[in-house]
Amino acid sequence: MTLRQLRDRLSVLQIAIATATVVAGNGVAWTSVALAAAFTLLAFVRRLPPEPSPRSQRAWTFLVFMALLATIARAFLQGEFLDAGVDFLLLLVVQRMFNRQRAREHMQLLLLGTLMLVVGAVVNTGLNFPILFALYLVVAIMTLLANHLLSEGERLGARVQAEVARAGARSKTLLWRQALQVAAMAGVGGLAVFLVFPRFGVGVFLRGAIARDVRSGFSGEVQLGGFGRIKSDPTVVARMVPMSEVTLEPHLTWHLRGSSLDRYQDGRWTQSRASEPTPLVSIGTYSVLAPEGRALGESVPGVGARAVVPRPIDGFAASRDGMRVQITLEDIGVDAVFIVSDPIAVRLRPRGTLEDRSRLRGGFNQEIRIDKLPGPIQYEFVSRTGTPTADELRAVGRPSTPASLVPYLQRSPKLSPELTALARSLTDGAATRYDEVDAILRHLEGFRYSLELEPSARVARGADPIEGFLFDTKTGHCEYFATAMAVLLREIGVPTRIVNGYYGAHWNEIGEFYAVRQADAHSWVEVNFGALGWVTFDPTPPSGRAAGDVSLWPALRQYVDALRDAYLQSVIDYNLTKQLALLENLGLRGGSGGRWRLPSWRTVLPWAGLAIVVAFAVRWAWRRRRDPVRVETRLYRRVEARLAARGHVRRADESAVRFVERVQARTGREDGPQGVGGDALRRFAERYDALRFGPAVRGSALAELRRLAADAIAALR
Amino acid sequence: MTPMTAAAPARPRLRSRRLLSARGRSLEITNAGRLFILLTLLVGFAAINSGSNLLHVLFGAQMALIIGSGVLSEGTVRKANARRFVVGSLHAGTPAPMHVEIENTGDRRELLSVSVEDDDREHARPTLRERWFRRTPEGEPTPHAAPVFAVRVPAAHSVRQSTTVVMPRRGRHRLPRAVVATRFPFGLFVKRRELGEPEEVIVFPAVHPLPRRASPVHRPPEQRSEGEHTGRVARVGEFFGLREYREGDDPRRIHWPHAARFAEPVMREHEAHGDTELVLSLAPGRTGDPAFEREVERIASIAVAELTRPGTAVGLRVDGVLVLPPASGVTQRLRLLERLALVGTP
Repeated sequence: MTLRQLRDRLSVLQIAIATATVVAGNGVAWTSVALAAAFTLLAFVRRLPPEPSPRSQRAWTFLVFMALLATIARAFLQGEFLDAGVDFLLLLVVQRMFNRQRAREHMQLLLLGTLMLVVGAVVNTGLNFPILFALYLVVAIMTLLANHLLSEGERLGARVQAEVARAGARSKTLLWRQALQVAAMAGVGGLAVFLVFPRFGVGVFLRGAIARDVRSGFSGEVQLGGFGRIKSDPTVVARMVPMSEVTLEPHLTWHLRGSSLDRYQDGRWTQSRASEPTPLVSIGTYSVLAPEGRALGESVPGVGARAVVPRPIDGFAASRDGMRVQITLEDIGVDAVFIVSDPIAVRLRPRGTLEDRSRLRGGFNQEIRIDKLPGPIQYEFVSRTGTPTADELRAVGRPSTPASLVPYLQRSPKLSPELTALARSLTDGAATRYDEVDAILRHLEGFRYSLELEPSARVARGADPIEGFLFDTKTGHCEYFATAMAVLLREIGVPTRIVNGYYGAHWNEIGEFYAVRQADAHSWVEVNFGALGWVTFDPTPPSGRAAGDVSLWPALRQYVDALRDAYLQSVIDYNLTKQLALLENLGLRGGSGGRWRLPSWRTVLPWAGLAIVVAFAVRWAWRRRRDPVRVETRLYRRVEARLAARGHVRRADESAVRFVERVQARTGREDGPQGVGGDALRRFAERYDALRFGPAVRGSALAELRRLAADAIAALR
Repeated sequence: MTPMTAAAPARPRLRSRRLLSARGRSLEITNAGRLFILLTLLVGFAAINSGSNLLHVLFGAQMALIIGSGVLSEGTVRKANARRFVVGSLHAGTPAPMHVEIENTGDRRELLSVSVEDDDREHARPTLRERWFRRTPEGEPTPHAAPVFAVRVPAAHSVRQSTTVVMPRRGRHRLPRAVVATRFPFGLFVKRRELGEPEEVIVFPAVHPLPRRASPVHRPPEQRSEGEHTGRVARVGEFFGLREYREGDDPRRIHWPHAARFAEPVMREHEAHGDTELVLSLAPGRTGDPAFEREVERIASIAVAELTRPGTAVGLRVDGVLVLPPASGVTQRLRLLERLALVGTP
């Protein structure tokens, strides 16, 4: 491969890696990437003309100008700063790929790659970023090296071009070595700045949130059957660390609430927006849910203004039982804030200026939503963990339905009277709302959980999918169970709503957190119990709620999850406080006073010692690399050392054989007829001289010399 | 002949593109380097502004690349040395071959991407306006050598490259001032180190091919200039010296005692007059006068052409004084050209 071909391939590779960092951070639409990749491939395989034609240059200029206008329009009119910018960068990459004859065009490709990497650094908080970044460094630096040599050829004329082509092709190994060294240097520089450069987070020029695609399942609508595809996805979406004293179990049974929907029609749940969004009120630094203007939580006297606990509810003994949990939610493309049922309050724990710009807002049906930039968020929530007992729920009786709850009785006109009849027959004789709920739950207990949905003739004829589930197949997954329960209860006038979120969490022993995975996605029902509020019921059979271990290697998965968590904590979450803590640990900063001081000798001494040891090790390794000692020489030195121990020192002008002859001649009387070392020593010396100063040494000859050396050393003992 | 002292060339004031220039070193930022620095500053600003840790990493890596680039290029120019040898005669305005030996004085690291170029501070750089309107400044032609480039120079080794040098005027001059330069590793910066004072060379007048009729030998006596005459002379003249054997030499002229001593043929050289004797006459004049320069070039061209003719001896008379008696051979050619190179200089 010529240097030019190598540069060509590396240029494309560095762009591909940089784009991969953006793709992995969901910073660009797949369609844009696919289009750009297709055109880049086309540009790569096509024969490059010696000079770009003026016509094609004019066409490209026009196209880029139009794209620039479109990008500005998208950025300012639609607020798609990121997507528009990345799309424009991809277009520039394609344009350069079609005209990359000279070194300057490759330099521009490298510049575009760097810009893409900058975008990747903003949007990608995944564990893949450090790996891709390291790879990018090596590839980009090698591209720079190769491009530099070729540019020197272009600059200095045809004679130098020929010299570069000739010598460059032979120097690729050397160039790779240089690229690795420089990449290591850049990596160390990056690490140093990361560790010690103070985090200011000035926050100038930062504007509102970037528009994002919202993933189905936690948005304003859900099609029945949407969960099936993610039930086998082991990706961790959230990591939870309980902050208050709770009983820790390997598998939690919490319902992590995301979105709630109240309108059902044609197999689709949506938000009716008939009611106002649940407002949030501030208590200390918490945003507390306040449906109908009444906060669900209150600050605790004596504990501190910042602590929020659930507000007590009359007739609900455990209503004050609550917990605080810190959660790190991955960017799964939704604006829902996930909180364990029943949600009371949330407090963001931003890890930088970008996250600090996130804003919480109340959603419908006691949802909490967030406007944020791409990337994971960290927050703390307060939940009511206590649930009313059956007796407390029965005590409510059959509460009346105020106008504000009418939307939760909505009934799809498509549903048949058969459904109403079923609901009434099931709850016939139920004295209270709880008995009605219980009757329906018992009815659904006989149904089978499955992700494989059987076809129903009724549904094929146009009936609502939930009727097929209730009357024909009696098989479905959580959405069917939850929907069935909700519509049946509505048939008898009980306000209900469906909730989408995650069920359960798995303890990660390595990272010491609870991991919530995509496979834990779940749906359940909330039923209104008047003064007691909304109460969670889960009609799905317990076997179908938790996804179990969907990963092929659960242990490995735990390590990966823990690593990801550590990365978020130590890299993404690294801030000024942690920097100061690091300086304190190094003894460079006073703990309480926060004043800078000179380190004491006790602190400096170990580090200085370590530095000296490392410096010597590097020097030794360097010398060893530059001047490797041949195997035969090492063997000879061992034998020589043994002779020296017996008082025989080789003169500088003596060969091995001559030295042995002299020594044996002198020691002939004392050490037997042949002198010290005897025949074994002489044979070794002869073989050594032959190998050391003869033709190239082969492996078998070295093995023989090794054996002779062992014999000689044994003879010298 | 009075040796000339070459005046130190006037150096135009350094423009801003050279960031540092001390102890014979200079640093220049290329266009790509400016872009890279701008990008680094932008990333740094974004990092400080946003507090994004990954942007800090990126910023640190870019800064390290800038510093690493400086360290590597400094290591390269510090350990690179170069010597230049002009091969053969150097005629004014004519490219002459030159060897450049680039040496790696270090004993460990290979040097990559080293060039030996003219120090462009010798020449006035075009102003921004000139560059903008693509006008090149007109001025006196200056000596220049084509740059040479070595992709790699192994540790404690040297590589030899060939190039050409053009000296615009005859006389005793110094070779163009040269620098060891490198853009290694990324082409973002150019680091240069001045080589020592360039060596002095004698630049012969330009020699042009002459039409056959221009030779005074082939002109009738009435058309010849004053002092130009021809005549039969002895085949063997005064003993001049010894030289190594060249292919085609007459074996009868081998100096056998020396050949026996050195075990290789050694030739006798005589200041032999040729069959035809020609004394060229040059009217007095001063260096730089176009008419005088043209006349010097004409005389030099005739002398070279005649001396290539077997059996022709050529001499030179300047201002009526015979400064070189007629003789033939390579040595006479050099004497003539040297005399013509320096004629008219103060």
